[in-house]
Amino acid sequence: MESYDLIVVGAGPGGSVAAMTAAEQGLKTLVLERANYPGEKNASGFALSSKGERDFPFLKEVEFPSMRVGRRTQAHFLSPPPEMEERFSMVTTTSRRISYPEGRDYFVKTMYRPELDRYLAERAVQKGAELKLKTLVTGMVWEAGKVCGVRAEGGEEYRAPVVIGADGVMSMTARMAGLREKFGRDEVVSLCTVDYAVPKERADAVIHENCFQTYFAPGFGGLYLIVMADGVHVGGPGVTNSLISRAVRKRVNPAREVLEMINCPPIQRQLTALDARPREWQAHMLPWMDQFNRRIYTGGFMLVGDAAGVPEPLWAEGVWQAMYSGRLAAQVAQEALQEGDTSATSLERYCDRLEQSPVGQEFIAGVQLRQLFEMLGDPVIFDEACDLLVDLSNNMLWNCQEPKAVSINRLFPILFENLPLLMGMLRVYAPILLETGGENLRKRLEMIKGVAAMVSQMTGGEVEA
Amino acid sequence: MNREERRPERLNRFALSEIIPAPKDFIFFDADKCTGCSGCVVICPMDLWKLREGRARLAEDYREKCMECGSCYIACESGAIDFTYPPGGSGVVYKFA
Ligand SMILES: Cc1cc2nc3c(=O)[nH]c(=O)nc-3n(C[C@H](O)[C@H](O)[C@H](O)COP(=O)(O)OP(=O)(O)OC[C@H]3O[C@@H](n4cnc5c(N)ncnc54)[C@H](O)[C@@H]3O)c2cc1C
Ligand code: SF4
Ligand code: SF4
Repeated sequence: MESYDLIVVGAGPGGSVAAMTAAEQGLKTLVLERANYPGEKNASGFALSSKGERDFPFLKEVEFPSMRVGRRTQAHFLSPPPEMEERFSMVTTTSRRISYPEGRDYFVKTMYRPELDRYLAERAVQKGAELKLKTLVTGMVWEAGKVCGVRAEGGEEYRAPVVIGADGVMSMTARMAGLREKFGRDEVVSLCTVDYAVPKERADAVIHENCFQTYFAPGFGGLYLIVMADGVHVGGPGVTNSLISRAVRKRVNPAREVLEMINCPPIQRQLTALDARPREWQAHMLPWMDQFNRRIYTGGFMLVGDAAGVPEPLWAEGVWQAMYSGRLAAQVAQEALQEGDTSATSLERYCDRLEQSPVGQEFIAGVQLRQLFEMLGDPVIFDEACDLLVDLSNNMLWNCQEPKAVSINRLFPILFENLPLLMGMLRVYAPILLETGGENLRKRLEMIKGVAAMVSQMTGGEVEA
Repeated sequence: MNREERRPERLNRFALSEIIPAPKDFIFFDADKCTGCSGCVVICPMDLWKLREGRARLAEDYREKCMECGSCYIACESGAIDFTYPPGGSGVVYKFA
């Protein structure tokens, strides 16, 4: 039996960051990972948002061979099957109003997970952590009602006053620590991904910086297309068809839906232009919760990353969240060890701080925003939304078929006709605005009054601001 | 014309995945608890579950084909499926995740 200050189960981004933080603080740290190498078990068409570099500055120095910078992002809205052609599409750059420089510079950097996961694990080892691969943790060691170590499948025991469960969505440590049996059908999505090999020059020429694209079609959950330096991932489906409860209810097999939607002409044209060759098929689950999960600690034990259910509730981004929660848990472990109290009451501060942090804050808008996906999941609403986007852009800008004055005057009728849809969207956004920005909203209303007065003056009326 | 007929599956999931077969079982099925709801059949990305005579059945060669995604385990609400991971160093290998 060997003893440590901290044991981390799982060498994904959450586990490795927890381990590097703990080792940096001088804790004797052990990481146990069941795979042959870190990243071998993680399937994810992967894009790391700029929050990564903001909060973990060491990432600025790394260049992975597969890395591509995504300064553009594109959403494609398709017509219903059998046609499934582009109906509306928009490309956008980052907003100059984002609060930090990396966020203004780019959305995401795409890369392959084995490269990132290996790098993070190696960094943890450099800082002094010990990493044991090919080791499946199958049991928990308890003492006086607290977790005080783990048991590997061969029966070996490793002891430490604090254990961090960073073992992903199917967390067996969460179960062994009595925090939950498993995630519910309403809390996880089942996703599939196809990886394609792509010549780098092709990807540079066809995609350049537009490497994070999404495709939506009525009745489908939607797919993402992520382009790395020399590879492409096409994966999905989105939450409306991949949340396990919904997939089962609608009888949608996520794999079949992905294979079917990949065959739509716009995706096939992209893949042809990229000279893409299928290379790997992947399937993985991902927590997609709409409430912040507080069952993430008990005496001597904390959960981080997917095991804690922290991926963000609109897009289900999870790596930055895993890293953030991993670092926080290691900091709390250090404090608790110094105080000599690793009880549940002492570790509750981890949960409180995480809920207050940007990771927890995402859940304030989560419940509401997920309704947007639910709305889009309805084929009729999807069709109406596409019509609205097409009508607005056509009549305001792209019209070459009629006199401009005629088409521009359609704007009000179009908005009026679409009031139910717009009200539906308002129902999603209004509660968020009221909850998080009441003050802001009042200022904006004042501004609108001012604009109304200006318009009135321009048109010859008289209104007091 | 249904969706499947219109666009035949052109990708072979099995040929595109690499698996080091687990030396022992890691999915455990308890037929007595199965209600035949077909949740596992609908969700499995590798079509490894079939319904026969109102009960689920897991493919015998699942250790060579299973992606360890765990979806069947989550889909089953009657406790008929239990899941542990394959022993360390075995199971699915993702090189391009
Ligand atoms: C298809 C897909 C696409 C995604 N795309 C993105 C994206 O673009 N951007 C983004 O930020 N996130 C994305 N995510 C989410 C992201 O992959 C996860 O949120 C992230 O991997 C969570 O990190 P983690 O460290 O918590 O867990 P994981 O990365 O899952 O790591 C857990 C580790 O624990 C090991 N382990 C498990 N059980 C045991 C055990 N009993 N004993 C020993 N070791 C064990 C596993 O082998 C694994 O290495 C995506 C997910 C999926 C499925
Ligand atoms: S773990 Fe996934 S791939 Fe394996 S049998 Fe269950 S659903 Fe199918
Ligand atoms: S999900 Fe469970 S209960 Fe339903 S068919 Fe499968 S094994 Fe049986």
